[in-house]
Amino acid sequence: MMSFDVLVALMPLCLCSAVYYGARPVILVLAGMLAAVLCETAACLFMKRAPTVADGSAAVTGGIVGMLLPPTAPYWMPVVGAAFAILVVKMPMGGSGRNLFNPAAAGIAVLTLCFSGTMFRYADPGQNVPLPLTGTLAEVITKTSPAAQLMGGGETLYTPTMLLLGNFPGPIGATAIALLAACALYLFSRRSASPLITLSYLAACAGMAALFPRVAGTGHSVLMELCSGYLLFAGVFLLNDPVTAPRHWLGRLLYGALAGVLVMLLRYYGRFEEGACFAVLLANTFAPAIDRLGWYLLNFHRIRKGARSG
Amino acid sequence: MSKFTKRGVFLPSLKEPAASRPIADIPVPAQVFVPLLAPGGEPCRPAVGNYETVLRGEPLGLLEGSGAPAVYAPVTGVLSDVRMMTHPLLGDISCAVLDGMAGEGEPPEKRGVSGLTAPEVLAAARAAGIIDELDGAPLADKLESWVDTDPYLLGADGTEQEPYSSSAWAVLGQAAPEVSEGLRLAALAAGAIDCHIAVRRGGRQRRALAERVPGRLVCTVRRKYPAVPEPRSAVLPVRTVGVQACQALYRACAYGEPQSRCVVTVAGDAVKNPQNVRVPVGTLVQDLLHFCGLSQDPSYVILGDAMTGTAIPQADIAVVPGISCILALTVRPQPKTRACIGCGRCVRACHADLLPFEIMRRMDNMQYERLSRLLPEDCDGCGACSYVCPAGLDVAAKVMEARDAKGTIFLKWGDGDDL
Repeated sequence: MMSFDVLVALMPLCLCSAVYYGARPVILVLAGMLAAVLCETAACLFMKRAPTVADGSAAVTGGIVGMLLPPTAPYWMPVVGAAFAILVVKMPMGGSGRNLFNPAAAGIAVLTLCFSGTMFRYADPGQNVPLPLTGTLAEVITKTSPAAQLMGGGETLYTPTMLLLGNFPGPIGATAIALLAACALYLFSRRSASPLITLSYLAACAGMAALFPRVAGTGHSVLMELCSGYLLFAGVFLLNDPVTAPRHWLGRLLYGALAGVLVMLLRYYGRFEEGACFAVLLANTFAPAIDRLGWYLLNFHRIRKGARSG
Repeated sequence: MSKFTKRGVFLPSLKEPAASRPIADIPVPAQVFVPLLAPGGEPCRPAVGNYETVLRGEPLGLLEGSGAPAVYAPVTGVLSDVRMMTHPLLGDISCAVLDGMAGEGEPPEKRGVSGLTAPEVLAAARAAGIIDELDGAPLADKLESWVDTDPYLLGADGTEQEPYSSSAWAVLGQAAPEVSEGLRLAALAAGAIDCHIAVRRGGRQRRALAERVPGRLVCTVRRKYPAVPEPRSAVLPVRTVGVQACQALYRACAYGEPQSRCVVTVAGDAVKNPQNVRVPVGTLVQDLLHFCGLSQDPSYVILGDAMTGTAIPQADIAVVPGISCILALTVRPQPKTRACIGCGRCVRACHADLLPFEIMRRMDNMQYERLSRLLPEDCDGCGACSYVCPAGLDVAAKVMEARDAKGTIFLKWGDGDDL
């Protein structure tokens, strides 16, 4: 079951975040999951069809929405994001297996547009103090994230070791780069994610970062761009949503590359420091066409032959 | 593209214990139902009157037009009736009902086969009414259609890639020299450059075969299902005939014997003694199951193997060449099916390089006009897409439905759009 593999892969990321920020991120992720599951159940009841919660896709959607929030987000935020994802993006399209856009990416996109101040206010993981579970978060020490530093064009303060261990401000689940890579390998081995998509996406991102660096040094630029924000998380979890991704290998390669180019363009010219969710949504719109395009390109001679003989 | 990307699925092997047991001979059944149908599909009339005795190997059916013998008695018996029956593979056909008796015809005389020419072999194959068990087509027609085509290799398909069936292995184990000689004759008749017996890579069975028939081996390159026999070195295409058809061709040439028996694997969890059985053509499936013993009442009886077989509603179906496996299975809990989420496993499994999920979706949405560009007619029904589907959907059935609906009015609806 693909959804359960993804849930398993999300767990260590969530726990890693708990090491830096205390129990608050875990509660945020669980709130997102619960909201998504409840919304999907309600929608199924409303649409008078058998509940589809058991396939786990709603929990994955809610979990991913929670994982992409900053640890300082208020508790209602994952609920709003997950509810939008399920009630507006997923269920009206026909529910599991029929949604055109990745629901989690759409939920995050809406939160980014509506609450961009909160969405990019990241706590400093270096404080080693658990975030308060209730009450005001105004006193929490925040820090400029690597993505914001790249956007500002200034010098970056983070070493590769800090980046790999997730010791830099960013979304809950997207900072532990080494752990993310391990999760990706797990998903590849379980065939729940396609290495073709993720690798072509990362290759496109790295190529863009190398050609148009925003910081000095090609290698440094590639590392900073790939590790900052939730670029890698989007490549592993958002792009590999089986419903919205192409199925044919050539389509998958093209899709990943397209998403990678879009992510980098949104970073260079976009309003926000991180636009991976928008890039995923844009790539989603092209996914069915890319899928068939790849297949038609490879089978052009067969189709022509069939048209001539039939 | 399929060679390059190595598509297909790995299937579990459920061949034991049938594969390691010798071929059993079924006692002459009380009644056999021989389809009065020439190998080409022309109807026949009975050659003898009711209640007359025919010996095994004597003509039983004559062609309606020319009166040439086309069907031979698989057992010695008394013709008691001619009856219309519905057969899942042949449709509505008239069958000659023979009350079987012990006793053989004249023991056939052996002739040398080394001096035969291609037309003689074809004539012998046609006279013996040999059906290729791989696709149920007449062997002579198959071989003749390959004469004067581009260079190719002829392979006897001994791969037995489906989960249960082991009849080709059993035939090879018992009569490898006959198969090898029959294959040589088939290659001669069909103008093939060379011929090989295709077996799976590795394994005890291959080594044993290599000792008995030297120089007649080709490994399948892949262990995945469906395995397409490919020669080790050459780039020539390979065409395949059945192992049993090769043996029948040899016996037709050497003994003038018509094809009247076939080896069938009887297996499944409801069968007490899974084994390969040599049965006369026309034996009922129920007699065959009775011979092997049923440990419990089967819920499904399947003609063919697990991947490509068809479930039959009753077991009073005559065994004909082309059936090389019969399964009797008990019900197992079916997982609930879910909606297709487009994981793409069917695309990866499809060795014909199709988009099975897309064909299924077009069928479900009744967008028939878009089907023709998805090439469902290239499907060979291997069933790998249904096997891998994590949502438990029968993708292959939908694809085959689309394939078989080709040319009907629904496909010509509308103009279709691009992409």
